[in-house]
Amino acid sequence: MQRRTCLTFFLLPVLAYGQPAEHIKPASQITIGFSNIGAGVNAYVATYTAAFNTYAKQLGVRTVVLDSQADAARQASQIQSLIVQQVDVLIVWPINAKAVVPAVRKAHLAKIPVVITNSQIDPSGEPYTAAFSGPDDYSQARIAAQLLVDALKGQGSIVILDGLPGYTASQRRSEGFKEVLGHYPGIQVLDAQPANWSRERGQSTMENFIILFGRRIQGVLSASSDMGVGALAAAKGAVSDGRLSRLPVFTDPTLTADAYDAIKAGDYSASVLQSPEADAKSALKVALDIAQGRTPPKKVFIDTPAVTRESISRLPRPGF
Amino acid sequence: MTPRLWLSRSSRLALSFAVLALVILLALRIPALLSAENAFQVLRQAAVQGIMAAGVTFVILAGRLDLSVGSLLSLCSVAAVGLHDVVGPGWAIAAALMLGVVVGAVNGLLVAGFRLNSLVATLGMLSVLQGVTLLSTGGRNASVVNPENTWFSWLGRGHVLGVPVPVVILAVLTVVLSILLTRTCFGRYVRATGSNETAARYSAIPTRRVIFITYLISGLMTAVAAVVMGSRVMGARNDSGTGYELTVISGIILGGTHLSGGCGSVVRSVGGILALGFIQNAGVLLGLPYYFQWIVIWAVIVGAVWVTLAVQRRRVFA
Repeated sequence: MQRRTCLTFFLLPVLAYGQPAEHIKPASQITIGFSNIGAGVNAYVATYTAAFNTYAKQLGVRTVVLDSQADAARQASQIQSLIVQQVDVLIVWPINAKAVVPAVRKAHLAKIPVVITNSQIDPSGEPYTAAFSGPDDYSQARIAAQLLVDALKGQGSIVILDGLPGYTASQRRSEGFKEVLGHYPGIQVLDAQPANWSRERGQSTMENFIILFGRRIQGVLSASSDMGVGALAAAKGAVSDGRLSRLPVFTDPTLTADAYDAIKAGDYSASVLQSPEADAKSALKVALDIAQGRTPPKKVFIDTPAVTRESISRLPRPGF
Repeated sequence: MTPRLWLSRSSRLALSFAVLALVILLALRIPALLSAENAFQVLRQAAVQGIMAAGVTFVILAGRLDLSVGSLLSLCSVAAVGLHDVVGPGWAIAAALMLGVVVGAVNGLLVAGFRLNSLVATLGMLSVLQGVTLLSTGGRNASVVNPENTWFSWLGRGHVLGVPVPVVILAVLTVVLSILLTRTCFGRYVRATGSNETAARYSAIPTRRVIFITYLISGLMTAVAAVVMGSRVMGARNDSGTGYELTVISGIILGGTHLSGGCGSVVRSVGGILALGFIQNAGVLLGLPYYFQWIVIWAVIVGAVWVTLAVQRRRVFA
């Protein structure tokens, strides 16, 4: 009887105060965990990571950044350790859209909101995420394909250079290309080969295409600028040898410094601006909004405008 | 001539015939395969791996392995391309070559000096070099800002009397290294060390110094290949050379060099690389899906090893 009265006395003050009043956590008390795809994967990720760290410092939030080096299994275990560390928000850059779903689900069950950045998660994982922030590979690829079709005026034969097989970005860009090209029966796709995001492979694959198809190649659609610039080098060599009568039309969905120079020089036709700085800032903003109790839209797409020979002069040279 | 020597010589001949037969069959099927334009292109694309194979052959002949050549290729090409705009092409090339020799020396020290297992030591070096490359670039690509205005591009993209420069470099180095292997004392020491290291040591051959020098050769050749590759692409990534060590060793095996060491030749190793290049190229010309090429290479290598063993043991299934 006495114990129960004691307990009641203890419990009363707690019950009286009840739930703490709604308050916005200041940025300095927020910890954001980030499961990165791997700064060594390519220059885009490296620039993103640097911008992420700079912007996080500006905002004053604490971050825990883990690099999974493009290994899906390592990413799963790193997400697990971020859950254990009880971060306030988790930002995930999925290496593989499907493979990351179980880990994201665990975070959701542990009541940690997850923000997906850059590459979208498989639809089966979307109920476990709070938001997506980043570029839309699919629509960027559609813009690049449309730019090529417009430059060729709807008629001609082209070759396609795809990204590394198995990456979500490669698949979505490939789908974007196909979707637009399907509307134009006058455009014939001679061949589509993966060039693994590599400039050297882009160059050698283009050389093979030139041997196979010669002057029939009128346009080259690359899933990334690196491969496109490599293919441009191969085409230039072929033009000077006389194997090609003139340079084909080149477009791709992600602008890099070398593509910028090539567009300015007039060799390259068009590209799409996907800024890793904007990508990183958007992810951090969305994560901070969620941590501070606001509800951002479920999908936040960064602006990815087309870059043509006419609009290039208004843009600064990308840093990567 | 002892029976054992005759058997291994006939098995190597059988392998060479089998590979040649395969290439000729493919050429009959695809007339464009051996056209001048295509052949020069295959040679130019395979030149990088061919130069590497010429150097790694020495290491394998001495009975050791060098798995770090892929990462070293990335590192040296990043160095050459990255330094091009900073110190000029001449010094950039010199720096890349020096880097290759230094890494070769470290490998040599670990394997010959400290007597570490060469597989383990060079595998570790593979990771270390990858890390060094990533650290120095911060993940960014290296590229030359003005590819048209520099003589550096001639090494990878130029022509000499109609022959691509990388092919010329490959040919010259193959001849030089072949002479080194077959006509000098050092070459004989390398093969002796590989066939029977104990006997070689008791014959007053400085086996440890010989192994050390083979690693220097391997490092230097990889650096040369890196300069050629960097010049061809005018750009370099951190993972430009990833996986190259496997294709190089595959080409060397296809050329009839035993991994246990002792017998083999530089010319045939380069030939193995070129054969692999033609077979891969045939896959592209036939329009085979990209993934198919990996299966084809596997089949070719397994077939090569089987042919060698079958002739050696005089039985189809050993």
